[in-house]
Amino acid sequence: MTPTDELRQLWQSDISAAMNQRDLLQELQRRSRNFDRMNRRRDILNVVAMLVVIVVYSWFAVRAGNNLERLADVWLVGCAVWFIIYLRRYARSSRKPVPEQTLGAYRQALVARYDSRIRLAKNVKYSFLLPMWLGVLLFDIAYRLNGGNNAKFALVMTVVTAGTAFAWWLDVGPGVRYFERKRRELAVLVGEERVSK
Amino acid sequence: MPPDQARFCGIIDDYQAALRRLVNSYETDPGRREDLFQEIALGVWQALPRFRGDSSERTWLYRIAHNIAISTLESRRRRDNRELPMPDSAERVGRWHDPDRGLVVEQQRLAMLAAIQELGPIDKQLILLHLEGLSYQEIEEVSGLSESAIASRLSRIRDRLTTLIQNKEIRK
Repeated sequence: MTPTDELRQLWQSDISAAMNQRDLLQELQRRSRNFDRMNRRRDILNVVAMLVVIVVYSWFAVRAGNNLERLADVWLVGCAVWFIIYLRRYARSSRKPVPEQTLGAYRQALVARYDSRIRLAKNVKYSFLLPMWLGVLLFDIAYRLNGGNNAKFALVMTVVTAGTAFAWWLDVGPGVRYFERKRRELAVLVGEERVSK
Repeated sequence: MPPDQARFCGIIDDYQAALRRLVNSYETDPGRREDLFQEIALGVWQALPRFRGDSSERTWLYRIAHNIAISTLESRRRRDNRELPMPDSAERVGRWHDPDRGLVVEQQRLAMLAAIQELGPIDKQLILLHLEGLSYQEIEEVSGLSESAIASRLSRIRDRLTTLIQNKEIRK
């Protein structure tokens, strides 16, 4: 008997007790249903949120006092729609990879999910923060042109700009670094030497 | 029973012992082992409609099992080094006609399991596939590595495993 045979025999001497398959199947079907239900609920929530934003800001746009305010409303509707569509697309692309692929391909796919998150975090400033800031800027200018007072105009502009700058910093600094660290940890965990550096 | 359910039960029936061994090598905690086993079973159940027979059922199953084990570990990110729980050992030893022999084999098996758990993820996957009796060609189908890479890597892993087991036995 070769050392390999001995190791195999020793390894296969562990024959754990069998589980009732009917119980297992019922449990799996229950978990599968719950998972589907959760996904459906999330999708419905996204669509409802999108519709609420569209309806509310479209209504604001119709009742707007001037064209600049109307433009700001339409701009924010556009931002919200874009935000939700982009998130849904991102959620679809960052789903767990199918487990039937080879172990090497699967490891790379797991790491690639972090690449996708890092790309998203790096893009957020241009894709979301800047358009939202521009939308609020339009609102504020419209308010000032409608006779709003200078102090309020300056205060809103300052607070919104500071908030946007903080979110920008949070995103490109700690946010990206967090995902990069997670990606490195994952690469070490799955033994993906080529991407762990 | 509908055909897909019957097929699933057949797969679990054929491979349950091997899957349990695989789970034991990834998880030390009994509760988590059961969770991981169910995760793998769920993965198999969900993947079953997509199985077209392009590969053998065995290699298909091992791909799913190892990939889900890895991604479950990734989700939790907890690599604790707790000692292996021993409560089920007495029960296993009781299965042997000669309890002394059973105890020795059980201790060796646990030493082997602990040694496998210490291996790196890719080495662990390769040796598990090898110990379950897959040929190099089948391991290639599962892992995506070439046969020559598998052969050289397995030779190194076997040596390392033997040393680790011996060290553990000496320490006892």
